Amino acid sequence: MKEGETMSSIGSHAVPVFLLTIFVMALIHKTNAFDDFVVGAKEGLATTSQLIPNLVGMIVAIKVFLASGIVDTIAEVLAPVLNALHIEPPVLPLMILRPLSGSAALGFTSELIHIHGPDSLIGRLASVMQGSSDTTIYIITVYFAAVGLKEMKHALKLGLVTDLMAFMLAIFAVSWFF
Amino acid sequence: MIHKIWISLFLTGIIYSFLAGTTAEVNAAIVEGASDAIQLIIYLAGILVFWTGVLQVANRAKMLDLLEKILTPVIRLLYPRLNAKHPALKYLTTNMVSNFFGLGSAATPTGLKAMKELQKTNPHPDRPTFEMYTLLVMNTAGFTLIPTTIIGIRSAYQAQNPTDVFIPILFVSGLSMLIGLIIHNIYSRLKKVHSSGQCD
Repeated sequence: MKEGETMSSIGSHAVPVFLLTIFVMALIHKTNAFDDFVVGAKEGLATTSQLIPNLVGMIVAIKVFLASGIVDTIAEVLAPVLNALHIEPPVLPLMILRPLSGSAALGFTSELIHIHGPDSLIGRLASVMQGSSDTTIYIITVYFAAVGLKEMKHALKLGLVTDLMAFMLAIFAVSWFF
Repeated sequence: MIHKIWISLFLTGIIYSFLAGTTAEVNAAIVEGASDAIQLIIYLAGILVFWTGVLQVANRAKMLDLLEKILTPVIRLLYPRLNAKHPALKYLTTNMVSNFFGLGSAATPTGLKAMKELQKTNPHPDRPTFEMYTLLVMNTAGFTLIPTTIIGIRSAYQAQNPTDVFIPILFVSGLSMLIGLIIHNIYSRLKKVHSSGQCD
């Protein structure tokens, strides 16, 4: 598909162009880019090491869940509904977990990419779904709790509808771009 | 919440494997899962460390300041009823820019500060205001310029072109954010959701 090729070539240029802009700006403002890099990178290292226990715990749980074969059974039962909505059964658990827990969703996405391959339909679908939504329920809870608000019903509806929209758009975008 | 999800994954997996006769697979999964996770993290670590470093360079080179200036009209559009001097505006802008840069660690504290400022001028402190809903949509839509984690996972598993999902992700998160904002604005008008509005 020609359109898809153009799109992914824009995608592969975007990151180098972004980097170039940052370095040109660092030159203009005469900042010490490497020292700044090291300071930021240290923070990234701390974030990553905090991720280790979470991800080990989650990935084992997700692998056990997937290995039991329960997703295949659920997919068979729900096949008519999933087919009508063009949802690939393996991504259904990801759609449910994504708004709830960041590490669970991240673990699920990486397992789906691992099992099906990053360039498969499911691998790409998982990538786009994971990348274009966030832990909605968690964010709403934290933001509302911070100011003591209890009326969360409408906020949850709004957030989850937006997530559902993102998942549906992801299904459309993956078939359109690739 | 995480604790319940985690236990449920194990419980359903193990119990179902007894029923379906897949205990051998589950045993293998337990052994493989832990080392899989470590291998993934080793790969991810490089990309995450690199990008947080680069984003710090961008921050110090005043790229975030520049973006904040560019985004001021967008902020006025998103929060039309906020007084131009409202103290929340500064945090709302920084929050948006941090989200665009994928700086989760900066986005959450600024978002919380914005919430607190908005709550100070909330005429009905028990009910969320229009601006709070807008802030939530901006944060839950997951709109990010460079989805580093996804690119990292994809290259860990040898994608031909790990960044080829970049444009689809921008498209999907941007459009779903826009739709979320439209739904929110229509609802707020119909239900006359009040604003954090004026301040002195």
